[in-house]
Amino acid sequence: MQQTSSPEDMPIIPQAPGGVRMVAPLLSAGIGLALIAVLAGQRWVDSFAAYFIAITLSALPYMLMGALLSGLMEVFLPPTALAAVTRKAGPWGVVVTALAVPLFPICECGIVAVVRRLVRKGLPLSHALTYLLAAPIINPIVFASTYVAFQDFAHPLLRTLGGFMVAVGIGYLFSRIKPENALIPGFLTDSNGCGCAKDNCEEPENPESRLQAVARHTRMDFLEMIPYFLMGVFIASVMKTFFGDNLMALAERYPIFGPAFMMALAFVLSLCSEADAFPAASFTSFSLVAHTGYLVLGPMLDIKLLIMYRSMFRGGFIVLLAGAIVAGVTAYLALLEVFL
Amino acid sequence: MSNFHAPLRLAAWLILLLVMILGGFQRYYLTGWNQPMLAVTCAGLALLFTAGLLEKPRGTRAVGGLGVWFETLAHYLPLVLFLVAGPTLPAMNRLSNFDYTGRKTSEIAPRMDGGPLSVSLLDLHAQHERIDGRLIEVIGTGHLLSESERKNLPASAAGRDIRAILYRYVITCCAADATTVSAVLNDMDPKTIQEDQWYRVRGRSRYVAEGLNVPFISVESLEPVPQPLSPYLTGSEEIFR
Repeated sequence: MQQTSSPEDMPIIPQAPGGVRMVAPLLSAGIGLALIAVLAGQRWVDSFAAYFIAITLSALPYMLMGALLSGLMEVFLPPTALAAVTRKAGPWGVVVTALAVPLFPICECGIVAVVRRLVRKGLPLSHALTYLLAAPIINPIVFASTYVAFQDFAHPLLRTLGGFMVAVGIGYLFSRIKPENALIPGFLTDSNGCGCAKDNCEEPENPESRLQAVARHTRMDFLEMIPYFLMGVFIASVMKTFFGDNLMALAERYPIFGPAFMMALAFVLSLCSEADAFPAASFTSFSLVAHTGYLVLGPMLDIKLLIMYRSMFRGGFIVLLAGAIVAGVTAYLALLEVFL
Repeated sequence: MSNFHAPLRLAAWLILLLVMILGGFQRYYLTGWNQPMLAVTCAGLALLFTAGLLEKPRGTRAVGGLGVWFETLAHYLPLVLFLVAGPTLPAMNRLSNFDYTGRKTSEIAPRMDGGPLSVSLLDLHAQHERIDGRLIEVIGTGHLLSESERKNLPASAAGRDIRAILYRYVITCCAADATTVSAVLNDMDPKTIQEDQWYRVRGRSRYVAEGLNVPFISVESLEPVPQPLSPYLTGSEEIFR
């Protein structure tokens, strides 16, 4: 990040960290090619456009909600509060974080903006990872929608338990990694994310100005996340257009590979965790374990999220994290196979 | 110059949402319960946009270059894609205002004039105990199975006449989670089916569970109709009824 000396020097437009300068041209070129295909009368573009716009529209409210929550935290949460609380919890902090998740439910589209802010506000990386992975699963709305989709308690309970176990496991696994090795350069020095590169903006004290500050941070967070989000949606839509049906057909033909196929399907489809249970429920030939693989992995790792993680994590760390998530979910499914 | 980018980017999303809401296009992408969320989001973005315009300029640092313009362009891509490839005005002209999708299955009742029951393809699956054997009317898109599709049918389909189907997409949250629901069309000339044409089918339905789990409709009449205003059935309405 560029270093500046005063809040007056902050840029008016948000500067997304990391590779956004690469994301935007790639995205523009990709959509440009799609538009050319429209003009050439290619029918697959209809499906691509429908998926792309549908995922974007369904996620937009949650993106804004996440950005608003992040803006509120920036202005109203004291800078030392999170660090003090986590110090108090000691080694149990990761577990406490996972248990506290239902009090602050947020779905996967808004979670990255919130976690970015929490890390900048001093939440340790291990706790932040736990919250990042658990919040889109250990969530009352997600529990209810999973119950409605499958009409039983086994699926939502196993989903919640899996989300808890994998998130806590990964929190502890990465507890020794130094933040500077995981986060993109400049992420922590630009601690409030406004681009002024100071530990704390001199935010005004009067309520009217505070509201303005919330609006400013919300706007910046929202605009900063959008290119990553769009890139993720773009890739997910391409995958779904060209491989989604084949993957579904394959999955139904070879139910013995159910868990692996269902996890791959969750990764490709990139659906919101509040609605992803419904398509999964239509795969009636699969076992409870295979369904659980889909339900636990999807909200933690899908194409859209993978790109959005790039707004805060280094590429190498994302690879490690993705590997750990897949390993964690696989281990959980193996446990279920043994005990169910 | 760079001061224009933040409002320009927010404007992209505001315009997209306004076009969706005012044009009624959201029904092509989102299920019913999800649509009001767009209005709330639009109001929120309008507030942010206004607050940004009213805010005293704080920045003096010049941020420019091609990369910034590319980022701004990226925000407009969903809108551009929608205008070019979405169901914009030319497509809307083909639509009629009759629509079965908002009706819940609990509203199924015998008609006093002895005419067919109006049901959805979802009803034929979920309510088949109540519907089997009765004269029904259902709407969907026609599809003629290819040779390879017929070869891939399950073994339990052997000996059954499965050449044409009527299908429709069911969505739960948005069009990206669409799955199909279908019924087999029997006792008709499959060659009359045109691909992707919407049809109103009258006939008697019989649900076959054995290894297939699909209703078979003995067709009495098949009438091409325009695409309904809401092309999707919504799974959540069926489930939450």
